[in-house]
Amino acid sequence: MALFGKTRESRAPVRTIEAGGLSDGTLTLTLAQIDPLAVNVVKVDDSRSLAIVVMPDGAYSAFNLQCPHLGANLADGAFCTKDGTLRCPWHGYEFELGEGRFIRNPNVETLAKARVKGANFDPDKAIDYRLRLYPATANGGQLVVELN
Amino acid sequence: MRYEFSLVYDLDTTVAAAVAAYLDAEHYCYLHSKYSPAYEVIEHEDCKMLVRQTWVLGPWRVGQTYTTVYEPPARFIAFDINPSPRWLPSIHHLMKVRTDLRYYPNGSGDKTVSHLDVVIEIPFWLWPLRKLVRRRIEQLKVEKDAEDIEMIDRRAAIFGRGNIKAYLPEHQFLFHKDHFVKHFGEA
Repeated sequence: MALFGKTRESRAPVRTIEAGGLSDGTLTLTLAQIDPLAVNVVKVDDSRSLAIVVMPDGAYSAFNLQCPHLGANLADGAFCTKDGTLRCPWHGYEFELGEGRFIRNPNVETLAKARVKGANFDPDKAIDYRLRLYPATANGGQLVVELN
Repeated sequence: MRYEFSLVYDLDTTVAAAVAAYLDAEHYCYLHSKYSPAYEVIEHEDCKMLVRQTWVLGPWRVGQTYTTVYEPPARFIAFDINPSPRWLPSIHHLMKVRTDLRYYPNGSGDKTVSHLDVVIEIPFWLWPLRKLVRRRIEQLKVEKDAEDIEMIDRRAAIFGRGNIKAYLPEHQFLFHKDHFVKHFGEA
């Protein structure tokens, strides 16, 4: 995953964490396992991976790695440590990671001439994609992520 | 002098999914950022568009413009490639390239044939370089297709092979979407 924002072109490390502490739909990690300057990818099981990042205010955000737009692997995207946003690697759609809200489609300006209303496309129709977030709470040197 | 060649191979997906990926212009600057860091539609009239691709080269922004025509359901023609800005030294001042890409089902109907015909008008003194130009065009096509197929494969694993439903909602942009839906909306 790449960083963007102030350090747009630099590559942020993607760290993989072993999901050792999984029980009853709760994932427990030590805070020492989490790199605050990296995207920490946790493979929960064969079909599910999540990422944990540290937000600008120090809170933790845990989210599903599948883009809600067309399914890209968000681990290949760009995470901005400055404002806690993520850019999808396929279409550039941007999401904020506090609530998982879609915030911007950067193609709107460059493709404006072709984005004309038709029977099957409405450029004014709001996009309502949302990342799947998992509640993550830091407590006593541990981070508890609720997966269900 | 006129030099022609074709590049034909199978893509392991349905024609609808291949066409959707082609018309899904929003991914050009991101998935294909290595080739199209900036892509802009300058003029648009039904199935014909003038587009500009640009790259940052040191302190300059350089690029090219070209005209594309979509002939539904699955034919894509590109021609009239010019450097942008026009005064920029470029091989496109010396030769003209026209590409004609068609997608159609293969014999067994389970894959898509990608059939690219290329015509190059080239001055006689550049004739010895024709195969170099050909290799470059073929390389670009194969590399971009590989990136698209990676996207298509991942989508197939998640949503099912040939599933194009995510492209159909009203908010989802595709080039020439009404034509696409007319031909592939039920796919």
